[in-house]
Amino acid sequence: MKEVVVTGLGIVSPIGQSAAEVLDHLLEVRSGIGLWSAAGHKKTFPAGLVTGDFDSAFERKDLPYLDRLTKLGVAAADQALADSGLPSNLAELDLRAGVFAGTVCGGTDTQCQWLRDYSVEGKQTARPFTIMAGMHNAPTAWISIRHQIAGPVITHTAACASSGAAIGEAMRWIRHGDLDVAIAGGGEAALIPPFMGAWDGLRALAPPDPDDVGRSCRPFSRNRSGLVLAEGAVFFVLESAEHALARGARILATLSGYGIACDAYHVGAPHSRGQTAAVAAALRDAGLQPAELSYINAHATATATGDPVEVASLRGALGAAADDIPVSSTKAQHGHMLGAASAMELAVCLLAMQHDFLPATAFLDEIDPACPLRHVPAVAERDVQIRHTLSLSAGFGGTNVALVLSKR
Amino acid sequence: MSASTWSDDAITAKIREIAKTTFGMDLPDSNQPIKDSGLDSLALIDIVMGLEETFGCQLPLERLPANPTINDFVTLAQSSLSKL
Repeated sequence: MKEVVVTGLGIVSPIGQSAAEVLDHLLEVRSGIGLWSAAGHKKTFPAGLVTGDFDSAFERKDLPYLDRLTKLGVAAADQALADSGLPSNLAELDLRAGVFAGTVCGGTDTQCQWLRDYSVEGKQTARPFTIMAGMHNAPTAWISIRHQIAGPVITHTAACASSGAAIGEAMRWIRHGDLDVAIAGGGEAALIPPFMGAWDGLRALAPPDPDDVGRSCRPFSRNRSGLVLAEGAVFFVLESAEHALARGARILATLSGYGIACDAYHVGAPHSRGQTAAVAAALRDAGLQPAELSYINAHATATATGDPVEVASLRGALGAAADDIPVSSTKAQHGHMLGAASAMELAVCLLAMQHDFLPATAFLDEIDPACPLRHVPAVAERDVQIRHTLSLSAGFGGTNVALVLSKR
Repeated sequence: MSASTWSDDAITAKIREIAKTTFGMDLPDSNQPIKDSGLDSLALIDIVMGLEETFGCQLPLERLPANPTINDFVTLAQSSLSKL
């Protein structure tokens, strides 16, 4: 089995569009949550919005083929590849390089626009690029074309665990010796009125905080009021250690553990069975005892039901060590990035490990007694050495993914 | 302009306008293959759809040659318009 290492990171998120910007937000515990509104939509919501120009990286003639999801995904993947020091064109690797990405909705803006054209405008034939822009695997396809990646190019969809599954599966390909390099992560760009309205139907979205919209997402808090949706994309470059060392690459960390397990319980309600199993499997995969973990980035979306279930899951997997392992949910700052959530939170773990700090759960002024853990409330803790760190993601449908990063 | 009064020059201008608006492309000379500009076959379909919306009639795409020029599009359009 090959050791799998991280050699590149690319982030397009509500708290920054580079690792340095995200690090700054995490250390200062600054929120990236703003107010979402849309013409004709009566409600407003807090949301993690990404701003910036993502068109200029493409030829103008290609823009009709590109949903916002692909633009964000390609931007993050470009960034990760540049960070890794690998050439932009990976054709020389032929079948030894792959792309693995997660998304929940695919190109939903394109899909919804076509539905509107059909239902409201009465059109019966779509523009020819509609299918290509809206399909779930558009981001992986564009990344593969852009960087000439000819091996496995696969899209994973497992709700909020999508990008975690993509990263974990990429890790397995490399571990088993079938790949040298993988670009792995995920993205989401679904903050459009129909999608916000669909989520509103779950009664799970937080209302805007009346005093400061940036404080609307409060995981583990007695005063939490629901989750905050976000958009963005995060990609890693994963390599076999052998390949990375041979080219003199800078190694950021070892991806040491991957656990995936399903609740097999309810399509929309979480259960500790799968979450606990995923964490236990990841630790087993990494060859670690729970007490060896220095930090856990929890899924914790700030829903009334989800947070206590996750706490019970972590306690079930970690045993007595759960009292001492620092845990936080950084969704308070960047929101729930759905198909990019797992990747984003693994990136937070990586930055914490690289820069010796424990990311905080922002706005955690009053810890819910139903969520007993060793929290990192409100303020990041500095000068803390992190040897091993775990990120847990739990998706609708019951799929859970845990990933472990270790210092090399 | 009614469908029956479209001149070749007007159709040519419409094709160039569609390519510029949708793909940001300036098309080559009217007797040069459009794909020389970098547009692919799906983009050509989109241009046809744009013309169909403009004229309010279907254009038989299958009658276009494999690597059409603007002039080929004009011929196709005029053929369809003459039957309205």
